[in-house]
Amino acid sequence: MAVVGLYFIGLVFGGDIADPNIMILYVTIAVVAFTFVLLTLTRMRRGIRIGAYTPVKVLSIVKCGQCSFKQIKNFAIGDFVFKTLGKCTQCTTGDLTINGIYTEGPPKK
Amino acid sequence: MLPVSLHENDLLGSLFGNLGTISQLLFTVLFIALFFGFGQKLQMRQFLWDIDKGLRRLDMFRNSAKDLTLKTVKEIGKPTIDPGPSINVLMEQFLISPVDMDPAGIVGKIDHLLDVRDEKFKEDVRRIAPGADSSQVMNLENLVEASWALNTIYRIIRHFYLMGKKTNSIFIIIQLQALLPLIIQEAEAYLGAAKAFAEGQPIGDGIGPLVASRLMKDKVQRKVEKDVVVAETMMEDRRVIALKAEGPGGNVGKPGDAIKTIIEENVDKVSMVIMVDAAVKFEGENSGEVSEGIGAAIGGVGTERFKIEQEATLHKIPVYAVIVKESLQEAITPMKKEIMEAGEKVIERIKSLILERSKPGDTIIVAGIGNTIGIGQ
Ligand SMILES: [Zn+2]
Repeated sequence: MAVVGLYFIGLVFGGDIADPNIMILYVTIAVVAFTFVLLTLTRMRRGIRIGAYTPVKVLSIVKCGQCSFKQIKNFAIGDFVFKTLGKCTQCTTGDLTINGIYTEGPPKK
Repeated sequence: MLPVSLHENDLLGSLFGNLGTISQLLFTVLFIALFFGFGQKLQMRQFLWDIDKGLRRLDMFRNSAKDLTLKTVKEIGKPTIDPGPSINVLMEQFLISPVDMDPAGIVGKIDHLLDVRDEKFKEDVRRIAPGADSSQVMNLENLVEASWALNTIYRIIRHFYLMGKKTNSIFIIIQLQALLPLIIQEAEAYLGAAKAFAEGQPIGDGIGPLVASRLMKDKVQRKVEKDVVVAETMMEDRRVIALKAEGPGGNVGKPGDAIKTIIEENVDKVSMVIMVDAAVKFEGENSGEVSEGIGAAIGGVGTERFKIEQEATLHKIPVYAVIVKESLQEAITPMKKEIMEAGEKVIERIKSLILERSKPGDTIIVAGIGNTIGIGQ
């Protein structure tokens, strides 16, 4: 279609055409051809944007039951909410548990 | 139509003039033929193109879900035989719903059917993956179900696509083309769900169990009914019985049966039931918004809701619902931060509901409804 458009544009500016009607006709065809190309392109762009799958980043919040220790780490397989991860490194008495697991989600556009 | 002027005196002009007339006529005829005769055909061809593209994407989704299932089964299941054929059999499984011409007692029938299917699915998964522990079996079962869903979506869409192509029916094709973006979005969500299930991550639907687990943390817990855990706690001088499906394996349990059992254990003592669940929001609403209403907030086929409604009516117990709004995609993909943070707001809502609608010393059931994958207690 782009080729067709270019061809007719070429005819118009080639200068061989005396009749304004044919000129108008050719210009119209060229415009229609380019519009079609443009529409197809935007359609394709939209399709690609919907299809892209972005893997999400999942985080685990680790909290100590005794002190205020709080840490956010990457989710590891086997993690679940309220899983105990051993003693706290800060106060050495409290149990570290996973308090929440979440994903930030993609940034808003 | 534009008037065509002929320059009779000029040879070149007359030649181009005639050519102009002829070509204009030709183009007019072509135009009419294109837009009135073949317009529909052309459009149909374009729709079929679109559907074909969508179908290919759905195929990609289902294949990657299947690969993920196979990989996960091999990783944590440690099967002795190749799990491929058995997974293929599971993917094609179907359920025949009971006859509804005489609907009396149909809830029991559906419930029974679902129980049998659940049991069979679980047993099959256990056989395919003998190395998985009980919560991993649950997750694998969820994973297989997600890829089953993707497979089924693909099969249905392909069926209608081929049907439309074969019969040249523009209405089948138009409907398919119109619905396809929504279906692809849903399929994409299922793929995200499959990933969450494979790794055992909490999903948005787990907000109910998350709230219940916050209430029952460090309390004495016991199991009632199928896969439901219950614990008692005190809140604003009221006795609160919290329940949720047993985690951290992917599971929704049978909260209907559990609520029934608890009400029967505490005859005339339960003054209200509060159900916490994720609900599908309307487009344009914020995720993680909390709202409250009346009635049994629980999705699924409806058997559990039926049981709760029946029991509540029998004992004249009011049922309140506190819901967290999220989209379908968010409900089955890893839990978003704003949904997790809504948990605190839900607990505040429960507190104010209890204060407004009950007296000190009352017994209140708080049921966390949803899939408890990745959420312990
Ligand atoms: Zn500590």
